[in-house]
Amino acid sequence: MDVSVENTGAIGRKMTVKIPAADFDQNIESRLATLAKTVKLPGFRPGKVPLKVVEARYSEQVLHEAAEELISSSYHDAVVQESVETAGPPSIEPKTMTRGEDLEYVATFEVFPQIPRTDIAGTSIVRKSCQPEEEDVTRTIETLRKRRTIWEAGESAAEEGDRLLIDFKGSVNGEPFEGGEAENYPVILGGSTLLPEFEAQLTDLKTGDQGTVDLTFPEDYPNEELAGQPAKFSVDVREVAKPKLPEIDEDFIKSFGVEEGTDEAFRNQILANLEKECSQKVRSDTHEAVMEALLLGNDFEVPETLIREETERAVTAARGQMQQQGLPADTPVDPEQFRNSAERRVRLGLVMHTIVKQREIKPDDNAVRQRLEDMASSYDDPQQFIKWYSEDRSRLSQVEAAVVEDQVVEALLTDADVTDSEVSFEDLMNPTVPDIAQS
Amino acid sequence: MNVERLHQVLRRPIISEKSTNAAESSRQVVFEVLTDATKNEIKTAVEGLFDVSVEGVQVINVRGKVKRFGKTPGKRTNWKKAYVRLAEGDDIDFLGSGA
Repeated sequence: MDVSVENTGAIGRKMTVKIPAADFDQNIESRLATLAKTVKLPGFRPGKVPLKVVEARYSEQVLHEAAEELISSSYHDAVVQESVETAGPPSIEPKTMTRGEDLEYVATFEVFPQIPRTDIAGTSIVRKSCQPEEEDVTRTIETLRKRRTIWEAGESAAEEGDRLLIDFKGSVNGEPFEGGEAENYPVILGGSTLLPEFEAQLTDLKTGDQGTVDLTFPEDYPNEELAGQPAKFSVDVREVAKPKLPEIDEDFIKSFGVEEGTDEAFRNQILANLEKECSQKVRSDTHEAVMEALLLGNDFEVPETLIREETERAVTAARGQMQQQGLPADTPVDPEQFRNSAERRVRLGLVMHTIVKQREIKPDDNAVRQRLEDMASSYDDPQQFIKWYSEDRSRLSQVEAAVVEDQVVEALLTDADVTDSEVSFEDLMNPTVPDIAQS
Repeated sequence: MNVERLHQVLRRPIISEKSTNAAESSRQVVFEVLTDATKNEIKTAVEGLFDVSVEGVQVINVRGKVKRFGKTPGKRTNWKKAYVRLAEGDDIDFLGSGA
């Protein structure tokens, strides 16, 4: 086997492999021999077809099969022999494929790029920390109350914030149109479920009232046939209900799974949750910042095949999501829109991979167990969850990958220029300036 | 003997275990021929069409098999088979492998 590798770019490689005619011939012969034992031809008993006849009839097919087998096996050997690390499958172009001659083919592929930088020494990273305060707890409780709003039907006129149950029938130019009719439709005034014009004209209506709403569909209305058209709706108001926030009493507290039902226990529970949320967010923010720092100024060519694979995965995921939303399976998805994020992921993956290899980072058993326990703690039967994860190699390796990633971030942070800054809970959760925009 | 007749005499080559054996052991090629073909006609036809020289021709009349379809009796037509011995060094390749 003769192998020669030629560089066609920073990461492009062209490998020419030559297999001696003798090997090629021998492979064909043995294939014909096995074929002769099984082949059925009219005029011959099964298995009694002379080799010459089999060869005449099947030589073309056997030639291709033999070439294919030799190419795939020799390609593997050649890669090992030349010790190149291929990224993705090669494209193989046979050069000569005739019996009695050397089998020669050219494989083009890409190799993993050299990563110029595998540390973030000197980069400044802001590591935030935060401690939720009493007022954050109060705010959270307010949100919870709002989510449990009780609607009380009344006789008063509808105003902002009220919920109406209405039947409506709409028409454009006297013709009813599709989707212009509904019964018992809930509208919260100011909640922008309907067009603002529509909602405005519902104000001051009472339970049992009938009214008409005139409006013009905005020019940018999604339904092109209706956009810009004047429409008339006749509306029956079935109910006008005022919002009422639930009291923070024992029932309310218990409904969130706090058994004691006391205010204090409730607040403690919420505080604990907020703290958990906080540390998670801090971790992911730091993570993100480190990753961004890694990519910055780390310029290398990314193997096209890897990007294409990743893009394909993203497209498949998007398709699955669309199907769940009830869109038809053949909705066109433009792969281009996923390309950039796919490339970023591939870049990161390559950098991380190199770092893990360079620093010989292995998942720490304790950290893996810790993480599993964290994940399990929200399940009814944590032990079973842990067991389920530990038993399956592929599931466990997912966890290990996450742990390794954490360890990489830790290791990288030691050389980075880390500044700690305390931020309030509110600022942490809703950053006004994206964290990653630094440097 | 006109040329048209010669083209009709040989109906098809017979490729089977027996015919390949005959080719290997005694340089014979086997044809199905017209039932009224003579050895001479066959010889001229083979020589003319395949550009070989023929040493000898043996013929055999093959009786059609009696086949029944339910009650209906049926019979396949009789046909004639010719074993044509070629001169040393000559060969006819029906399989198309050397082409």
